[in-house]
Amino acid sequence: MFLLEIIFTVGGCALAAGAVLILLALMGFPPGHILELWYRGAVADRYALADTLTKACPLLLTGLAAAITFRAGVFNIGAQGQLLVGAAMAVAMSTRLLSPHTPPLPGITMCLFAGAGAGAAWGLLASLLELWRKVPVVLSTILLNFTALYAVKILLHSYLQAHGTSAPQSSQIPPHFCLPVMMKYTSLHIGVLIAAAVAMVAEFVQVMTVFGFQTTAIGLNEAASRLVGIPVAARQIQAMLIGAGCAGLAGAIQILGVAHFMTAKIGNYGYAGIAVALLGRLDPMGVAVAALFFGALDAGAQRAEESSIGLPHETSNIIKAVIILAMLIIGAWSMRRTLRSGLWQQRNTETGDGA
Amino acid sequence: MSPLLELIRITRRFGNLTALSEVSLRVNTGEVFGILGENGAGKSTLMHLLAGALQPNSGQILLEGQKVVISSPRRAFELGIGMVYQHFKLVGTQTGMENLALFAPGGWWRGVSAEVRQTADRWRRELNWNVEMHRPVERLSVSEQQRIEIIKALSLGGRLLILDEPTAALTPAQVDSLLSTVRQLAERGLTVLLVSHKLAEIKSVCDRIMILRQGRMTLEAAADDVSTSEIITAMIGKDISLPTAARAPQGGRSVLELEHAEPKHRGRHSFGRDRSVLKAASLRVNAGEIAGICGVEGSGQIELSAILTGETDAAGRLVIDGIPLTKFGARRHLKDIGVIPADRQKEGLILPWSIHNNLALKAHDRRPFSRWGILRRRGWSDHHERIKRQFDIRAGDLRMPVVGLSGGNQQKVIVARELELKPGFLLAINPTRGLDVGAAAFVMQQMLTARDGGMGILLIHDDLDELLRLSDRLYVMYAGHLYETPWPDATRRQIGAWMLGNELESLRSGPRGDDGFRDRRNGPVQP
Repeated sequence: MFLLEIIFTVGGCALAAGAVLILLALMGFPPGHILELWYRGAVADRYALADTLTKACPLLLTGLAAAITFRAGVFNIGAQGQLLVGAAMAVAMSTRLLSPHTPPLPGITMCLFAGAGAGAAWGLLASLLELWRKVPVVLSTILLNFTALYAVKILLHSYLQAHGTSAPQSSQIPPHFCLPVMMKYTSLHIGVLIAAAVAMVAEFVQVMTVFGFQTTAIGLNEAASRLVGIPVAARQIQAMLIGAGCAGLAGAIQILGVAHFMTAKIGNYGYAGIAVALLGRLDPMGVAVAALFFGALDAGAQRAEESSIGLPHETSNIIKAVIILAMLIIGAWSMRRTLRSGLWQQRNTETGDGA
Repeated sequence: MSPLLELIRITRRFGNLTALSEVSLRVNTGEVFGILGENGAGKSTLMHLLAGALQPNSGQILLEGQKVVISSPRRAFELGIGMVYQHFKLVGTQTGMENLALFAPGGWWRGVSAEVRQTADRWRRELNWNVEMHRPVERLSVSEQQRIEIIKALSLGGRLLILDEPTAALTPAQVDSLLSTVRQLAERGLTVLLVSHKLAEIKSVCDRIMILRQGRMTLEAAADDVSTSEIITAMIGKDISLPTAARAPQGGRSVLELEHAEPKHRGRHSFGRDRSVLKAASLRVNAGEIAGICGVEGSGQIELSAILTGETDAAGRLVIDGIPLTKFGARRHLKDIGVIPADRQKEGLILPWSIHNNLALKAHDRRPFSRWGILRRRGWSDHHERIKRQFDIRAGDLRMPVVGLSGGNQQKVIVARELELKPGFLLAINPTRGLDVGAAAFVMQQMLTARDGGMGILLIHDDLDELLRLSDRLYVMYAGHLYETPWPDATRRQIGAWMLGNELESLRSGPRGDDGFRDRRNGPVQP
């Protein structure tokens, strides 16, 4: 069953990519050439791999943000807002709040924790709205995404704005607060390791702990979980804090590791994270694989875009969208199949009992 | 009078269950015809057949002598059959007129047309009802909503009106007014089919009645020709003595005390919720006994169990094992009591999960199943294999998803999980519903064993036979009130009468005539 699911997922991805390639071929882009560029951009050598990993890093964290909360039945669509708030907090810490004489290790640590904390606080807002006023999390998190975006824009025009410019952007992060790079001539920063560690801890928590057991139970059947005495509201708020914290951390890492200064156009990692989480079947290890895949898509698309054939840079997003569509179709289909086989077994056991 | 509706040997089966078996009846034009029966007697199935929601397996339906196939609810409207379900089918945010227009013959897209308005106004004038048709339905009272439903059914159908438990949610004054409306309609030549549990009402308004018991018609007669006692016998069955597991009262300490509990009002956003019937319920369950609650469906059992599980906020006092519960942490106690919920698939099990996980659902955060927040799954296997043998759960592999088990085995998983922790108090709601005889007997035996081990059990059950067999003490629930009966020193017939709201006076001065609810009953009727 599990193996079948993996085969379907991989097959769906391949079909989706194939469909988009055929479309591109019809538009006059040679598919063989595109594939080659893609290969060179994403996996051909260590530089390509480093690029893939760097691009996968924020996707992994926002993917976890969605997966951890979805699993607990909290539909947190707000990773984008939480990421923006986390990024802004990291910028505020590194350029305004911390003294420039703070040594790198405590400085970076504080920036990352502040980013994660700010993201968690932003998510908590939505949870509390649900607890007190019964506002659905789906709605409040979507709306808080916009709130975060414009709040960050205001900050980038005022408190965080670089001195001597009128553009909405922050000052450069002091070099000793930037995340150390692990490989020369690339931007492969240690944030990738942090994200991988977070994913491994998440997997452990999900499989091995009471917390993971309870949140999964809540996501699958809230009424039953309540009746056996699982503290549903508390677990859901905790899941939100952890998930939103991951999104905030993604923002902080992206600023300190890659961008080194902030504008409001940080990238749609929050929304892409939802796709990553669904593709990874809400399992942290699955999310990691999905994030790597999406990272490779982005890295390859960038190479193809910069090359002589000038592939439109939207291509990788189109492929992602088609993959998600394929996943939803496969998901609906396999759920029906599971149900049907379940019913079949049930009928069989019943006749067995009657004998 | 010519028969308007005639059913000939109608049979309807669901799997192995025969819900209706060769039921034949004739309803004349201009007649009020009552259909009575216990829960599960087949009343709803019969109505669904007439309203086009279900099809019979065999038999014929004749309307004015013509054979008809009521293939869909829309077809039922076309044939002039209007149905008012107990749980109204109204769109809460729309006005009465808009609700009517949704089903108008011309199609909903025309909106509130002049035609719709005229038909509605005509019926309002004829019934002399001053019902508000231009306000969102959810802001109206239950009885006003019901009037809109009736106007809807009349303007759509207009020949045969079917009312399903129409008085369940009404106050006595509203009941009187509804019943006189029914008579008025019949005098105008309309035919009314009235389905109810409530004997007195049926007798007062119907011309003829029919009684169903376990899918068969046990009595058909003119309402004036039969005595209440005959009706009760036809509904509940013969007054035979059954083996019971009752024992002399043990006088154990109380494991559950409920005093004057009723759901708190939730303010104005309570469409569909303000029909709570439970009023000032008081009861007590002692260690080592099974206290049963019987009553026809909708007497307040659902509200009572919702209060006990913390699903609804309640006024009153709930004491478990001598510790009163406060509102804060209203669900804390669920860890310490056992609950066998009414709907095993929706509230009892996590269907896609393995049997292992479902068995561990309640104990997983205690030692030795976990330590310091880390699950110790290795210890689960032996423990669960033992439970599987003890509770006779027929499954090949405990790693198999529970959705693949039969209903009986699914129920055994829940019973095993809840009993195995030996809680002081167990709430069991319809624990054998839908089980075959063998599985039902097994579940009952397990509950008796648990009781003998000192557990206090509150059993809310639809099946009167089983309930009487299991209960040491028995409460009757009628119209939201709880009455303690002298069971086992009462006959089945008496209990049947109490369940239908007859002869309750004898209980009011009974052994536990609590002042609180006596005052309530005699007090002013709620508006």
